[in-house]
Amino acid sequence: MEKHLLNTYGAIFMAVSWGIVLILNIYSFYKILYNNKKNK
Amino acid sequence: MVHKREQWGTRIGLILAVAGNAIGLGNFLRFPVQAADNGGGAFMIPYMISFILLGIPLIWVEWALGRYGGERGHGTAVAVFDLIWRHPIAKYIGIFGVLIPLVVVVYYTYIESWTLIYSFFHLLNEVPSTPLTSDIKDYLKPFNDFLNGIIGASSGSDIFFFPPVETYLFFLLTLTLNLYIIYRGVSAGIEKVAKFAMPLIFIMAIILVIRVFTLTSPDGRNFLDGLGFLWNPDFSALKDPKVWLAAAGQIFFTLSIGFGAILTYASYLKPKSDVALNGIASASVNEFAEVILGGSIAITASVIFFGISGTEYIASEGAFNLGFMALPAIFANIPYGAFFGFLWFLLLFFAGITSSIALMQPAMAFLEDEFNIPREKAVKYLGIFLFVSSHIPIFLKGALDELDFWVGTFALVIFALFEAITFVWILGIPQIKNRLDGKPLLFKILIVLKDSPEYAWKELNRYADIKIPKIFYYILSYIAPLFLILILVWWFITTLPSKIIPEHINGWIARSFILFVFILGVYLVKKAWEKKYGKTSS
Repeated sequence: MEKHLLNTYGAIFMAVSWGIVLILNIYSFYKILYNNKKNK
Repeated sequence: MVHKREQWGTRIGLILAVAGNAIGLGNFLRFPVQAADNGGGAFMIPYMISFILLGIPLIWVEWALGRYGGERGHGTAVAVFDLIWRHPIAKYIGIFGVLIPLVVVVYYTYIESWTLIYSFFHLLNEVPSTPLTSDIKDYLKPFNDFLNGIIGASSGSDIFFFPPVETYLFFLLTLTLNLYIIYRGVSAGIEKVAKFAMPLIFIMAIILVIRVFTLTSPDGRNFLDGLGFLWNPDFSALKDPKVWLAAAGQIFFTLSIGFGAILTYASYLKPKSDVALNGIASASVNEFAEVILGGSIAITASVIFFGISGTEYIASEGAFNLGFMALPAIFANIPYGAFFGFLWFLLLFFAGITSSIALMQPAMAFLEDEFNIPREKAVKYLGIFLFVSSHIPIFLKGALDELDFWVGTFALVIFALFEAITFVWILGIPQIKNRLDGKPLLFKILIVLKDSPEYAWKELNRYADIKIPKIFYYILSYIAPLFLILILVWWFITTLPSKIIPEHINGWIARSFILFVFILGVYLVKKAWEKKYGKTSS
């Protein structure tokens, strides 16, 4: 990353934002699948 | 006789349809420009805060209102507000939940047709191809001319666009396709399209992200520069209230709150369905498309290709320039660029069509539920209205921006506030009526503010598949409505004064159209209620 624009703060902000979005997706779809299974 | 209402076939189909409604051109064009313009990575702080304090609660409000209406045989805010408020004026406020999406779709379908034209021309390799020059304005000129040619802006007239025949034909094709999907119905039309288009949107976006991440410029720029431009935080931006409002606005538009479309979609839920988890799941899919995919394609490619100053210039000209000029200009100079251009615009087209069908459905639900009009006939009425009305943005310069400001930006925040008030504070009033009797007005208001949200909370948690943290009770009851009021006050102060006098006559024509649609809506509501309950009801 040395020669490029993305700095450590930028990488952290990106990683945290992506992480929140991914966790939200995984959580909600896991819950949906779990409930579907439970209802069957 | 009450007609039999349709239902969603599967839960995943419903979530994809609601996410498809939210995922539109804004996810791939508006978000990266907003983020880059407003502090880069630091923008994500107000963005995520707005998502929690405004986005999620208001999504739940629309879902819950929709389920409430669906259980009683109604799919629009017209009847839902009437049922909850029990006041003659409520249904006339509720009609905004039908008219806002209807007016937005008048111009949205036209923009959607441009993406189809661009996609088609890329497939035929019929887009400009010029060698890269050092001056970005010179380089972008053929692409600017190309766009002006498509929309008919290069005729020299100040008042009219003169689009070529192919633009008109593509618009007719897009409108017909939309109407056909609506004609097929909720499960066989909208849900089927969502199940097909949504995975395709993600596949195409991932292919484009991979292509962008493997691009390098002759002077060594790569995706790390693009991501740096978007994500490196400028913490000083956090002191600027404009940045916070830009983030709140972006959350508002990206989740399609205040259009009434989510409410209508939720009205087709099966009995005893959850809304809490469904709301979170559809919002999450939208955020994936926006933050991860939308943030990685257009701006990143632009920085690699045009550098920082070039991208700043493009971004300052608006999200539209980024998508319809800068991106084709990039594709023109990379191997297999025509293919990637085709993919990019097809992606935008699919993102557009899953939104436009959602915007058409409230009007369909209104005609079907309140007039008992069969779907085939309702589509015919809707088609005639959209075909005739679309000529305003197609031919009149400035009309599209005028409609977008008053209806697609301003009215939907007001309507979202009404939705929040209806759900949070008015829904519970019948249950606390005995506590209100004989009290002075101020006490009544205080009791409603304190006790009524409890019933909204119960309604939201009914059949919920997740336990919503209690903190959201307070966010939903007080913080989200206050946040909305704050946005409105800010707009009244900063934006409205400059918009009161339109730039030319077409602005007045667009406003007259909005007024006409409103009068038509009020008339139809009056007629529907008279038909159902007799003359005294209106």
